[in-house]
Amino acid sequence: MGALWKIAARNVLRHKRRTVITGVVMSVGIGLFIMMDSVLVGMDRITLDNMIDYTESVAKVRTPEYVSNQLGTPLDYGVPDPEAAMRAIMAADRRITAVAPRARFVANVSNYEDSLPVVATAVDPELDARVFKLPEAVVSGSWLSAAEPGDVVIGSGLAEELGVEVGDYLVVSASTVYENVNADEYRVGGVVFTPMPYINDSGLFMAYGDADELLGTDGFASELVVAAARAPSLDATLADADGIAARAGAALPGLRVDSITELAKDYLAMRAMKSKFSYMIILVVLLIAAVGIVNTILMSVYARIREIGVLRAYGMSPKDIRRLFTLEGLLVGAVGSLGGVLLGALMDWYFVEVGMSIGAVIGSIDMGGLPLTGTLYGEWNPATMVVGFAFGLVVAFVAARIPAKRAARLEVTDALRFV
Amino acid sequence: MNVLELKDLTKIYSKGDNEVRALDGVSMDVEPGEFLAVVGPSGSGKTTLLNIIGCLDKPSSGRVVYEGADLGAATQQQLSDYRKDRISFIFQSYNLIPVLTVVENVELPLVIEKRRDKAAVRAKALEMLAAVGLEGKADRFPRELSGGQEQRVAIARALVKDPSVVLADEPTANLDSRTAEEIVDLMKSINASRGATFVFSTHDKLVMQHARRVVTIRDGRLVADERR
Repeated sequence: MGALWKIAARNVLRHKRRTVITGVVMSVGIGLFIMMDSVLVGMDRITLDNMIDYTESVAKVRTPEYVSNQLGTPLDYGVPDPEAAMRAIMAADRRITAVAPRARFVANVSNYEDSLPVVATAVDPELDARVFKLPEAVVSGSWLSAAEPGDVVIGSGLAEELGVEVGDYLVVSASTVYENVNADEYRVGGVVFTPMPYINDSGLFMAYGDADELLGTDGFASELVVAAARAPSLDATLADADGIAARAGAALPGLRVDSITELAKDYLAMRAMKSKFSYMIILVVLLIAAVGIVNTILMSVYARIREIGVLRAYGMSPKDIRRLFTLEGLLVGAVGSLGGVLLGALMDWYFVEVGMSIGAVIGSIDMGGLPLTGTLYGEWNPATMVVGFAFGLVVAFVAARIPAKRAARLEVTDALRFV
Repeated sequence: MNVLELKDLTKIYSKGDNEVRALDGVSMDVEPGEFLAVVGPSGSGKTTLLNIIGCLDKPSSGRVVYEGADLGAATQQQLSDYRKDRISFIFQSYNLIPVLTVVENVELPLVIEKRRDKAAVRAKALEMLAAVGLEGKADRFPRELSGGQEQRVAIARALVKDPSVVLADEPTANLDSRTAEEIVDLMKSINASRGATFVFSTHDKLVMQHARRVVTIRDGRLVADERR
């Protein structure tokens, strides 16, 4: 094999232009695949982070009955004794950093002229701020305070739609536990602009005291939301969330604890489709590269038919001739794949360290959880690099076998006569 | 014992409905250490005869006996193995491997034989290069040599494995007359010093003069066998 390696390697180096062109095509294909995977994982990460930070949290604790009826946002089936449940959750797992109660209800909000339906949420302003980043998303006014009853915080799109600003008053009406409709007047204390479009367009937050008065409830918690320390990667985030949900679930018999994996299952299913799409792209690019390799090796075979004749005349077996040309293809493939991994790593480095402006990439399109502004960062994924490299080698091997078999089948006398 | 015996060799090529009789009942014996020229006009069957002697092709009928072993029933693989062990070739266009150095080209037949002792292989190749007067060119590539030097390397490559028979198809056809004579002189001196059997085809009268036996082929038939 040593001599075969030597001849193969020197032939690859001898036809530098051919090798470089084929290698570059492979490198670009594999590099793009690695970069795309990094960016997609980065997008997933930021999307999941935003779901965790603004709407879902790491895990939600609810009663099974509430989950079954959640589309109607009932004021029944709340978490019994929320205070005790919150203490149990905090004790269940050291990774948990905060727990907060929430009550979701459907309401109508009016500026005295027009009325719009909203998804309202009753929150404990202090505890909620430990779980979600809503206070950081306030663009005018301030976040809720238990000390200032009568204030609501609304989404920026809703404020615009209603034509209200901080300090203006709104009328909020909703069904109560007594199955009648109650309404009251609230001051707009703050406006939030979040990465979650539905909060911006129809989100309304009020403190628990105000919600209890409006709805006739007494600390009703439709859900308990859980915060945890940030994990270093997307996969670690999902694994942590599942672990926390399992432990909290064990500590809360009769209650249902759903981790972000369950809460974001629709998104995660879409993510699997996206990764299939990225594999399709690499397949197309590598097929182009495969044609290049077939061509490179075929040219090599045709240019060296007499050489093949000499090797066969001196007793080299067809198997070794096949190996020789397969090795040449593999070497070109290895160069291309290695270049692809290096290129991919370089692009990964850029996206991980520098990132790219989201506005420049997606404009103002609603990407369901992707922020509309800011920077999107990629994530390192060594497994993708290994897959890219291995796939490049496999493509090169398969592509080289076609001309290599042809070379091995040549008749010695024909090969020696070839001009 | 004869190194080679050819018995009533026939080779027929089919071209569409036509049959071309490239060899027609050729019989001859070759003794060890002979320096034999096969001559004849173009298309007379010289190359076909050399291909069959070289186990590169099989006759349509007749027998090829090498050192007592009848290769008539041999498979392609057995012919390939026989070639590897016992036969060497010198080609008109030298056919050195361009990506290998001179010494690596000479080593090639031993490498194909899968000889493991690298130092011994290198020593043998250098010995052969010295025998053809190219000891100073071991690390050059073929493109850096003249035609005559390339053919010397090809001769060294052919002799490195101590073959029973060295076959040369028009070995001087691409060389000028002075270099051609040098190459034939070299082949002759190696034939004398090492006892290697040479069978070569040629058109060149000058080269024919050096042969100790001249076999003439015409229309696939052996028409003359002259020993000098």
